Amino acid sequence: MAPGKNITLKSSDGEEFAIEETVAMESQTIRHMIEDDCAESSIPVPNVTAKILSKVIEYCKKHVEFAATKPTDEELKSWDTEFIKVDLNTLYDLILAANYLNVKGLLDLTCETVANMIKGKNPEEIRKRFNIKNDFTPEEEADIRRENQWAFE
Amino acid sequence: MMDEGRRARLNVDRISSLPDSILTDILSRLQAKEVIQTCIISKRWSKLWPFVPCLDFHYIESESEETRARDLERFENFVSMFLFRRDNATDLHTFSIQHQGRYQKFKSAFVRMWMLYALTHNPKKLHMELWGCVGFQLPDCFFTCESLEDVYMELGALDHKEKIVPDKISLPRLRKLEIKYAYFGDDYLEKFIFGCPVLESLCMNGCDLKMDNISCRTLKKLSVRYCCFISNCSISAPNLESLEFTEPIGAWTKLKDMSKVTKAKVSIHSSKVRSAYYGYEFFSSLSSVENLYVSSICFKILQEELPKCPTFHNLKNLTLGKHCMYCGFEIILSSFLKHCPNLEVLTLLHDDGLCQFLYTQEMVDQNLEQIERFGCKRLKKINVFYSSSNCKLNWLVGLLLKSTLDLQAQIILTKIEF
Repeated sequence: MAPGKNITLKSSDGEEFAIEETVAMESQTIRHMIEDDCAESSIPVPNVTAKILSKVIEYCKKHVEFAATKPTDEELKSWDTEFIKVDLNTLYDLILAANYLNVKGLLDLTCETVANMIKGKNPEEIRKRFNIKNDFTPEEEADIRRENQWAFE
Repeated sequence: MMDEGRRARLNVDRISSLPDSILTDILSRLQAKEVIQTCIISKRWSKLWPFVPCLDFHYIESESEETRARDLERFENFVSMFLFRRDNATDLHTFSIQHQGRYQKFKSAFVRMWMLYALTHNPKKLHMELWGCVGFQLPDCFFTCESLEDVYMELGALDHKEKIVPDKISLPRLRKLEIKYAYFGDDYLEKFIFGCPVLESLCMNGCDLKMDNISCRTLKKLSVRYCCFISNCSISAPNLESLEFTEPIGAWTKLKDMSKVTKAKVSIHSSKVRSAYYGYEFFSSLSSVENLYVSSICFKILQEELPKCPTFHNLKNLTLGKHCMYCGFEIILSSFLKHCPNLEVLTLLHDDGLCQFLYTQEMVDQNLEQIERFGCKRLKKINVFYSSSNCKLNWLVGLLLKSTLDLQAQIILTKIEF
């Protein structure tokens, strides 16, 4: 395989990652930069640390590979499932990175993972799982329940 | 020893500080009932649900007859209130209503209201299991909806199919359509397809079709299941890649221009159609497939016309369906395989419950001696999926071993539930 052009991405903490252009183009944000000729020698990716950026690159690399090898749905799902087995903080960071870099598949995967953590839980269980503080006063909460009574029947 | 900083970070609510667009994306993946209940989590969360663009409502019919009527009323009310109370300026990209039950039907007045709401909020995907909602007609604005891309519509019921008779049809973005229990009279199906310039996938299930001819250049996938053809017709889809044709009833259908079809699944019950309709000519149109699934009833039909059977040059994967094992099938199989020179994998579904085997041990021995070797030089693997291990299975395996003596084929047996 002839080597394609290389793009360098620079994380918020200064680490540089050299990747193939095809891999970089998995990010629509970077793709637009390349196509609009705004891409300089090194593209800075603010707000994304090296740890997270390397994870995003791993995802993009694998999915570019998948486009060529055309795996079965099971193989794809299996890889994605293993890939996303990360702690909650890393998951949030990946969501934000995928959102900023506009990597649709990764954003879908991460949002789906969080959605699965919410499914089947009542509001109190959701609060506990995600450390959300209930900032309603008892009166305010009663008001909302009454207003949306149809939702709680 | 955890430092204070780390401990503090562990207890932080980071999810609430994600941007709105991401939180509504996450909520779009939950059922509507769970979405609305997030309004009580915190002040931040109470402001999210009205802006969620994808809604999925599930109705599960109660087992108890007493609570059923009340449950249905509550559900109809719930859907209506949700739509009424959400932010009207937010599009509804996906609207899905799923119905799990056998006795109850939604009232048509409600269905009409929900459908009109959805259609006026730029829907991309519509999934409506209306299950026997009689008296409901698809509104005109459904047929001219500019945003629709993916539609699943289950209209009437087996005994009452909904008539499709729109005046104008223009669905410029519709790529995927699955429709159940509809009646397309007087060439309406043709009109419909003509009004869908980018249609790629069409599935018709339990529909009644009266038409002469359908022609669609953009279609890549076609499934016709349990449909009743009221008059003889032909289907032409020159870019079709995948075809499923399951148990048609009534008149015959001719397939034209199917040279790009790589995958076909055909299951025809000779009791429901005249076998003359689906013989050699029908199978000729599928002669370029790589993957073929055939129910053996078709096989029987083909038996009568085997000399005229075309050569399936590209066929790599052949699966014989559940009705596989009838007496004498092995003779047809080896004759048929002569027309499949490049076959690599053969799969047999041996459902004991459906077996029509009735023969004595002598007959069995006799047959085996006469068995012809399979001519497919490239045959690598034979999969046999079976439901119970018995002498019929043993006979089959013996047969396969004899037929593939000079080939390097592997025979794999797997037990499954049919």
